[in-house]
Amino acid sequence: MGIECLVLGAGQEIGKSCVVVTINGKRIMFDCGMHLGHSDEERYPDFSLINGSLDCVVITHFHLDHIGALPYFTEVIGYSGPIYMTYPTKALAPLMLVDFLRISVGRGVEEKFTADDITACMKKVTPIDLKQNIQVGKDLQIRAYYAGHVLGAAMVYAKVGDASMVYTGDYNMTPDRHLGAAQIDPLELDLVITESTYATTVRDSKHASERKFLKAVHDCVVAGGKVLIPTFALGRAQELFILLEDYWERMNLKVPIYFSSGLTRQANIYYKTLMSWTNQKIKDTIALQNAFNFKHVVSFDRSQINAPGSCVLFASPGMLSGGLSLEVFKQWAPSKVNLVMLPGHCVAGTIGHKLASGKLTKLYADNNSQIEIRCKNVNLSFSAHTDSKGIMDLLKFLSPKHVMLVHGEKPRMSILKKKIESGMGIKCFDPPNGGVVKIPSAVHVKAQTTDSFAKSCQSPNFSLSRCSTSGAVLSTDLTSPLMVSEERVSEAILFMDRSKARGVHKEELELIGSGEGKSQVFLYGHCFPIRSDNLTKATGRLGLSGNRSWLKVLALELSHLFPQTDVHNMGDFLQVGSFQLSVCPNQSCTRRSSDVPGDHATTCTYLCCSWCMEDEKLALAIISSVRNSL
Amino acid sequence: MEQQVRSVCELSLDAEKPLCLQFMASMRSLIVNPHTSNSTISSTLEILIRSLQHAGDSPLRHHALKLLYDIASLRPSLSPAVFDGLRSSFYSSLSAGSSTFASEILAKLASLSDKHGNPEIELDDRIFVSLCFLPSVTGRLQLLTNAERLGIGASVLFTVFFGLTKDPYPYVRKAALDGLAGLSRCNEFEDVGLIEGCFRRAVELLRDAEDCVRSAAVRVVIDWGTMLFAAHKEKDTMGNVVFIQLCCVVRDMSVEVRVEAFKALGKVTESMVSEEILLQSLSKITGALEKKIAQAKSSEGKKENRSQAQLTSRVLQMFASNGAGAFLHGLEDEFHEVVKSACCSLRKLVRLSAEFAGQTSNLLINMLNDHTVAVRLEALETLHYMAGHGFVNVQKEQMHMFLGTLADKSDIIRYAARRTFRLVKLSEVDCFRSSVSSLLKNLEVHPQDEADTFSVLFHLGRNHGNFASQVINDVCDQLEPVFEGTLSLDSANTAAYLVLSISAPLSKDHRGKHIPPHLYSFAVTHIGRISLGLGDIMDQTTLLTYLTEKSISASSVAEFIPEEHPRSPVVHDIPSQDDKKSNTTSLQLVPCESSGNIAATIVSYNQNDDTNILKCLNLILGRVRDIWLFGKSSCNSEALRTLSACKEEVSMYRPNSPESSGACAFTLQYVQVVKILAKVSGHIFYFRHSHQIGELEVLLSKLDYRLREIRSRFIGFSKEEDLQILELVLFSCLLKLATGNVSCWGTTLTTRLLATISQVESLRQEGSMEPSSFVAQVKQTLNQAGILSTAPLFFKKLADNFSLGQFTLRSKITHVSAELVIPGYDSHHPLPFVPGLPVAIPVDITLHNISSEGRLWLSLTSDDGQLTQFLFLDPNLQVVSVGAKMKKKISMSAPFYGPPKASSFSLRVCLAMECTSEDVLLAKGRGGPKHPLVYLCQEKEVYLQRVERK
Repeated sequence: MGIECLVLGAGQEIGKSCVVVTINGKRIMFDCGMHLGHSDEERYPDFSLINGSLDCVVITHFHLDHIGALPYFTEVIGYSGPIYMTYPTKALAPLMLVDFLRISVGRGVEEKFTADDITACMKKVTPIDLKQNIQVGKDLQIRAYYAGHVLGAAMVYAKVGDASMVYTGDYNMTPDRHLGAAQIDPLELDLVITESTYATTVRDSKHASERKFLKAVHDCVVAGGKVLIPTFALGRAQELFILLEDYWERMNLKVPIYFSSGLTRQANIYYKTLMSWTNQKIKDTIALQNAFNFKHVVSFDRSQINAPGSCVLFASPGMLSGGLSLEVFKQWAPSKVNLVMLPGHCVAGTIGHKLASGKLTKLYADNNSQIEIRCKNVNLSFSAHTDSKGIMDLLKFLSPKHVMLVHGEKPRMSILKKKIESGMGIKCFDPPNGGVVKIPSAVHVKAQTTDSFAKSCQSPNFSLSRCSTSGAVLSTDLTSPLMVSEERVSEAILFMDRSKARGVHKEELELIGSGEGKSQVFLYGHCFPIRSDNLTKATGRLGLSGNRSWLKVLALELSHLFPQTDVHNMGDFLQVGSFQLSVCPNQSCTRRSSDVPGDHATTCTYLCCSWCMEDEKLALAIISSVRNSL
Repeated sequence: MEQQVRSVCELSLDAEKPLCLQFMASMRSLIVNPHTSNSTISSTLEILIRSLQHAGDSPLRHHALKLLYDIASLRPSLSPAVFDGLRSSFYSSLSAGSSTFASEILAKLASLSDKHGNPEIELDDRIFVSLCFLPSVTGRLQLLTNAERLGIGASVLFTVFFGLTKDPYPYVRKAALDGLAGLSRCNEFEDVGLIEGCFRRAVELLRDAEDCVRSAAVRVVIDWGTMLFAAHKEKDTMGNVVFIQLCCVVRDMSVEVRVEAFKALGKVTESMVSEEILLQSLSKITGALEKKIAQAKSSEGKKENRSQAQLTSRVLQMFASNGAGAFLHGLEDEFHEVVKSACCSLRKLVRLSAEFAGQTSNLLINMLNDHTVAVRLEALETLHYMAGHGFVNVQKEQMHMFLGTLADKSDIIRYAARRTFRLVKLSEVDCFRSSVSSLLKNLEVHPQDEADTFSVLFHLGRNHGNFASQVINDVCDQLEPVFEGTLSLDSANTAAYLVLSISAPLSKDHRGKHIPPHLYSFAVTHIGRISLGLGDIMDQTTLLTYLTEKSISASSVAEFIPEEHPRSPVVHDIPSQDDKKSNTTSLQLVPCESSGNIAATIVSYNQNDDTNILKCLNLILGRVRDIWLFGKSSCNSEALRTLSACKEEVSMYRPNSPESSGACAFTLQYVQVVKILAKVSGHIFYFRHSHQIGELEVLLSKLDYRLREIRSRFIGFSKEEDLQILELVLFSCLLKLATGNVSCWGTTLTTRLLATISQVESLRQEGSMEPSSFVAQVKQTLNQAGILSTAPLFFKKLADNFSLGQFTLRSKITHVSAELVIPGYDSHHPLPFVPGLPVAIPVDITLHNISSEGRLWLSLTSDDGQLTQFLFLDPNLQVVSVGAKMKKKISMSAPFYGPPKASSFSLRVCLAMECTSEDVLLAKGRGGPKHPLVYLCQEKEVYLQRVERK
C-alpha cells in the first residue's frame, strides 16, 4: 500500500498536465491536458501506460494544458467513469475547447476529437464546489480548494484510508485584480504534487508593474496614440480589463477600450455570474458595482482598425503569433505614437518575443511590401502562477511528508528540489514523463484504551524542565530555557498485537498482566538496524545463507553471551523468555528506530524485537550486545 | 403571581425542599420584570442561594446560578448580596467535591466583580491550581479566562498558563496564551530562561492547527519577545529573531492571524531589529541577504564567535526563505483589514530607518492604484503621516501615480491626496510644475474643491518658494488682465496662480526671482475666494494688509527682504533695521502630531520659541506707540484700524509656556486699552467721531474695567512697567474729568487721581526713577490749583500732555485666569429646579496663578439681569486637587436662592475676583463683594427647567 504516482504529462516540462495517482489501491487522474507545442503523438499523454481502471478524473482548471485531452480520453479512448471539475471550469472549458478546434481547423490541423465529442464529454462532468466533500465510491474522498490562477482553478485534496495528498494544479499565492490568493486548510498530508513554473523566480511587488502598465497606456492615449495589447481571451484579459476600467473610471478618461474576440464576450458573461470565485475586494464591492460590468470596455469591429483617435485594443492571440493581433500590429506599427503592450512572457520565436527583445525593425506585411516598425513597445510580466517563494510558502504551510514537482523546466525544478530538501527536510521528487514515484503512506492503527487511562487523559498533567542547550535551536546562552512537556499520553503503555493495539495506563499493568495471559502481551518493542555485511560474513563463515541462517548465527551468538538463559530458535524468530527477535521485513515497522548506522543505510538489516515488562533488563542487555557484536 | 411565588418561597425556605424547574421559570419571569418588588426579589435571592448550597449534583443548580447572575445584573443594588452568596456557595461546593460547578460559580463571580465594582475574589493559589487540573474542559477554560481577576500570584499563574499551552483543547491553549500575554505586562519575570522558554513555546504554537491559537501565539511572541530582547545577553540577535518570527507568520492562511502579525510587527521597537532585516521585509528579492548568509557561514569556521555566526546564518536563512518581503505581502493582500494593519505598523516602523522609510514610500505610492478606496485611503493616510515626518520624497517616475490621486473620482481620496500634498517635498521643478497643473486641472473638473485646492497651493508654494516664483514668472503674462471686451480676472486658474504668488515670498527657500508686485493688486480683487481657501492660515484682514503692503511698496527697498512680515502701511517712525532683522515672524508650518487627524495646518509665529514671542510682542508694543503718535497727529480712524490689526496679530500667537501666554494676554489687553484711549481722546480732543449719547460713557467704563483688569489680573510687573500702567490710569482719570460730566463720577475720581499720583511717587522713590514729564506736570498743576475748582478744559489741557511711552516687556508676567465648567450640563439636558427652592448648580473651576489672598466670587445672574447673587469662594478651603504649581481645582455645588416661578429660566454664571487695590468701595450692605470685580473667565449660561410633578 501507499501512494504511487505515474506521470503522464508535465513531467520536467510545461504542457499536457496529467498525473495518475494510486492511493491505497484507488486510482485518480489529475488533469488531462494537451501539449500545444507538439502536433504529433507527443501532443496527448500516453494513456496506454495506465495499468488498470481509473476511479475518477479531476480537472483543476480550464486551460488547455490541463483539460485539452479530456474529450479525446472520454470519447475516443472510452473512459466512462466520473469526471470532476469546479463550476466555472465546467462553464468555461467548452468555450476554450471549441475555440481551440476552430483555430485548428483554420490552420488545417486535424484534431483527434470533434465538437460533438466536447459536448458529449462535458455532459459526463460532475461539477463541484469549493471545500465540498465528494465521496467517490466507498473509500476515496476528494475536496477542492481555491487556487487563484484563473477563474475556477482548484487545488485538489484526495484521501483514501489513512493516506492523503494534494494536487495543486496551477495556483497563485498572491491575489491579482480579479482573483484571490490560493487558500487551503492545514492538512496532514503524505504527498503534495505542486506545479513549479517559476521554480527559481522571485517576483517583487505587483503594484510596480501595474503602475508602469498604466503609465505607459495613459501616456500613449493622452498623446493620441493607439494601444495594442495582444493577449489571450480568458484570464489575463479580464484582469487587465479590471485594471484599466478602474483607472479609466477614476481618471475620468473617455478613450474607448476594445476587445476583439467573441470568446471574450462570452467569457465576460460567465465572469459576471461567477462572482463568488473572484477575490475579496471584488466581492466587497459587488453591492455597489459588479466589477465585470464594464463601462468602458466594448466589443471591437474590424472597420475600426484605422478609425481616427486614440483607443486601447485587446486582441487575441497573445505574443502576436497570428490572427487579429498580428493583423492590427501590422497596421499600427509604423506610427510612432502607437504602443504595443506585451503583458506577459513571450515564447522565443514569436513576433512578440522579437519585438520585446528590440530586434524587430522591419516586417513583411505580405510577400511584396515591407513595413517599418516605429511604435513603442513595453513588455511587462503579469503572471498568474506563483513564484518560488509562493511554492515554498505553501509547502511550509502544508508541511507534507513528500513533495513531487511537475509543470516546470527541468533545471529549475532540480534547483527547487534541492532547496526543498535542504531547507525543509522534505523528500522531493521531480520525475520525467512516464516516471513512477512510490511513496509510503501513514498507517493509523486504532488503539483501544482502558477506562482508567482515558480518565487520566482528561486532566492536564504537565511538567516543566530546563532543556539542554545542545538541542536548542535558538539558545546560545547557558541559562537554559524552560520547557513544558505534557505527560498524559506518555504515561500510557501501548500494547501492540498483530491486529490490535491497546493503550494502558502504567499503573494498570499489574492487573492486565495477571488477568489476560501474558503471552499475548508485548510491552516494549524495538526495531533496530545492523549492518548486513557483518551478518553475511558471519553466516558465510558457517557456510549458511538466508534470513533463517542469520537467526541461527544470532542464536549461537546469544547462547555464548548469555549462557544462563535458554535461547530458542523458533524458525521465524528467536525466543529468550518473553523476549522475541526476528528479521524485520516491514519497511514501515512502527517500532523502527530512526538511527541509521553511519552512511550505510542501504546495506542494513533490521531486527525487530519485543519483550515483556519483566524481561526488560534481559532484553536491553541482549539488544546492546547484539548491536555491539555485529 | 408574585404572591404565589413568594408563598412558595417561604414554604420552601422552611422545608428546605429542592426547587422544581417550573417554579424556577416563574421565578425568572419575576426577576426580569422590573416592577417586581424588592422584597420579593430578596426572598427569591435567599432561596436561590440556599438551593445552590443544598442542590448536590442536581442539574437545577445551573439554572439557579443563572438566575442569581440575572438578579445581580438586573438589580445592581443586590449585586453585593449575590456576590457574597455565590462566594459562600463556591466554598461549599468545593468542600462537597463538585469542583466543576465550583469553577462555574467562580466564572460568574469574576464577571460580577468586573461589572459592578464588587470586591476582588481572593482565591487561594492551591484551590486555583487544583481546580485547573480537573478533567472538566469548560471549567478549565473559565478559570483561565478569569484567572487574572482571581487575585492569584503571578508565578502561579505563569506556571499554569505555560503548562496549559500543551493542552489538547485549542480554546484552552488560546486562553493560556492570552493569559501569558497579559502576564507580560506585570514586569515580574526576570529569569531569562523562563522568558525564553515562554517565547519558544509561543513560537511553536505559531504552527498550531487552529487559527485562534495562532493569533494568540502571535501576541505572546511579540510581548515576551520584547521582554526577551530586554533581558537577553545577545540583544541584537534576539531582537532580530523576534522580528523574523513575526515576519514568517504574515503568510498565514488565516486573515485573523495575518492582521495580528502585522499589529505585532508594529510593536517592534527601535534597536530591536537591524536595518538590513528591516529593509529585507520590504522586498522578496533576497540577493543581498544570501551574500550575508554566505558570509556568516564562512565565519562559522572561525573559532571565536562560532555559535554566534551559526545562529546568525540559521536565523538569516529562515528569514530569507520565509520572512523576506513580509510587508510586500501585507500590502498586496486581498483583505483590506490586512493591508490596513500592514500600513499601520509601517507607520510605526518608518521612524526606525530613513532608508526603510524611503522604500516604504515607494511601495505605498505604487499602491495608490489599488481599486479599493479603502486601500488607497489607507496608503494615503500612511503617506501623509510619513510626509509629516519628512520621509516622503517622490521620484519623478512616481509622480504620475501620485498626481493621479488628485484627479481621483472619489472625493475622499482627493481630499486625502491634497492633505498629503501639503506636506510633500518635491525635488525637481518639473515635479512641481506637474503638481500645480494637476491641481489646476482638478480645479476645472471639481470646482467644489476650490478652497482646499488653494490651501494646498499655498502650502506647496510655501514649501517650494523657489519653484513657485519660477512658475509664477512663467505664467505672469497670462495673469495680466486683458481688457478686450471681457475681463478674465474671475477664472479659478488666475486665482490659483495668485495664491501661489502669495505663498512664495513666505517660503524659507525663496531666493528666486522677484514676483511682480502688481500681481498682488490683482490678488486683492480675488480676496474673497482666496481668503476662503486660506482660512486656516490667515484671515481676510491679515491677507488684505499683506497684499496691500506688497502691492504698494513695490518700489521700496525694504520690500526685498523675504521674511518681511505683513506690516501695516504706517510709514513714519519705522523701527530700525535691527528690529527688522529680529522680526523673524515668518509663517511656519506645523506638521500635525496625531497620525489619524486631519493635517490641521496651524500657522503660528515661531511658536516654539518663547523668547521670540516676547520679542515680537515688544515689536507690536512698539508699533502701538507709533500708531498712537500717528493717530494723534492726523488720521485717527486709520490708527484705530491698525490697532485692530495689531490685536488680531497678537491673538494669532499660540504660546506654549505660561510666561509667554501671560505676555500675550497682557499685550492684547494693552492694545485694547490703547484703542479705547485713542477713541476717547479722539472724541475729546478732535471731536472726530460723532458719538451717540452715552457711547462715551460706555467707552469710559470699559476703559475703567480694562485698566482694572490690567492691574489685578497680571502679576509680576517690574517697577518701570508698573509706572507706565499708572500713567495710563492717570491719563484715563484726566480724560474722564475732561468730559466735564464730573457729577457722575463724583469725588471718587479726584481721590483716585490723587491716590494714583501718590502711588507713582512712592514707586519713583523705591526705584529711584524719574517720572515722565506728563506725571511731573500733572503733579505740579494739581499742587498749584485745587481739583474741585478746576474746569474740564483744564483737565483737557493737562491730558493733552500725555504721550504714550514705549512699553517693553522684560519680566515674566503671569496671567490670572480661571476656567469654569458646569459638569453634566449641555443644552439638551437642562438642570432641574423647583420654583422657590434653592437650586444647586454644579461647577468645576480651575484656577490659574491665583494667590491665596485673592477674594473670589461666583456670580450668578438670572437671565433678566434682575437678580445677581454672589457666592464667596475661599480658594484655600475649597481646593480639591493641586496639579501644576499654580493650578488649583475646585468642584462644588453653588446654590442659587429663590428661582423665579417660571417653567424655565437661565442663569449666567461667572467667576470674579475682587480688586482690593481699587480704592472704590461698593457700598452694598448685603455681604457681597466690597471692591470692584474683574471677571476671570467667560460667562457660562445655564438653562434650568422646572421639575414636572408626576
